Amino acid sequence: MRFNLVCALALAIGGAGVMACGDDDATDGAGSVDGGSGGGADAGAAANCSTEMFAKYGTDAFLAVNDSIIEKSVAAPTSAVGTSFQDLAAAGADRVEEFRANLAAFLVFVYGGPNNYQGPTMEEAHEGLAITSEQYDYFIASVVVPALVDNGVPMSDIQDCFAPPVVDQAFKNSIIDR
Amino acid sequence: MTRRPVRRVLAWSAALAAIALAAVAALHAPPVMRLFGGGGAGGGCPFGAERAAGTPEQRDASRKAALVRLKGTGDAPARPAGDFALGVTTRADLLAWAGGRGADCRPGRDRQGLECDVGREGARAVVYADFDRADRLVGLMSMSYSRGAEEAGSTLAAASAALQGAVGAPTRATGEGTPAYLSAGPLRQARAEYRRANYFASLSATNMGPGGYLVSQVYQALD
Repeated sequence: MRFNLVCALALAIGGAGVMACGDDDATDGAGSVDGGSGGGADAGAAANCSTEMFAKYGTDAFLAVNDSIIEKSVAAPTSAVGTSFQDLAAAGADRVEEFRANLAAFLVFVYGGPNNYQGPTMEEAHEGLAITSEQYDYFIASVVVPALVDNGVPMSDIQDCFAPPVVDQAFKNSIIDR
Repeated sequence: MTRRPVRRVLAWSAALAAIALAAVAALHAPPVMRLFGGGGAGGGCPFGAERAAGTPEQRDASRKAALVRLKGTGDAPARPAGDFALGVTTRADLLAWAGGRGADCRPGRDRQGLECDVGREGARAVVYADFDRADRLVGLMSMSYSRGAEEAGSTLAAASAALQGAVGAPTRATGEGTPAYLSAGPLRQARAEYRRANYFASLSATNMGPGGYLVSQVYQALD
């Protein structure tokens, strides 16, 4: 069976982040951030979130975190996560640069209008991948958190905003062992 | 909580979500998928494009080319990997070590390395090991779980002390390994990274929320 852990978990993180993400017009108070049920905001809020954030942070911020994610995924033994990221990195600078360029071009499309994600649902994306609990934890602890920290996201913000959905056991269970 | 901090948190939340979602969406774009050879299972995800097994020489070359981005400067005088040594420990050594602990080992995700369950007394712990064509250890990751921040911090401190004694100071360190810091909230993390010309290591302790505390150790030989 082919293994695409990183992709699947990236989707998970994306989905989880969207669930944690509220409309910028949300009311004051901690309760305005999803406390971690994993099934929070609706699609409209997610779309607003994405488009507003692209305008706010721009391409460079997106690429910086994405580059860090690629680099840190390479560091894991292939016995743990498979060979996909090492394959990309081993292909050379030209291929990585092409990848980055495609990403930048696609961001314009993704964040230029509504209905910005047409990919598979969470369930569809993880079906048959047999992602283990340890692989999920690896991606969160050794890839995503370090990538965010290294790019200047304060730990307090990761803890308060990003963490609740991704450490929620019910959400994790929707990803692993499928 | 006042309006400004809440807005800041919401803005970061949105940024994180947007970045992750952008990456995922972009990875599914046809031009990007073509870079990965057409995509794989799970909705055509590009990261399903695992390489063919190839020859042992091809695997070694691909690995070295990929890991070059982890290189630092100056050689490490030694290349420890927990209880093992990169470039020295063999597959047989590791299997003997696992056998001595009553651990169960099986082929890893790449079908070349090993994945061993080494937990004891209900504490989960897994070791992943990669080997070169001579069956020498070239990459290792251990993941051990504990219920308490104090235990996780102590484990991290012990591993960090041993590593610093062998290779010197970390090239990057973030967070604090104290129980107070780690227990302050989910995804609180202490991490230290060691980059040398011939060696990479990353040690971290992370609060995984209801999942307890994870101490992760990653070691890679870079030559």
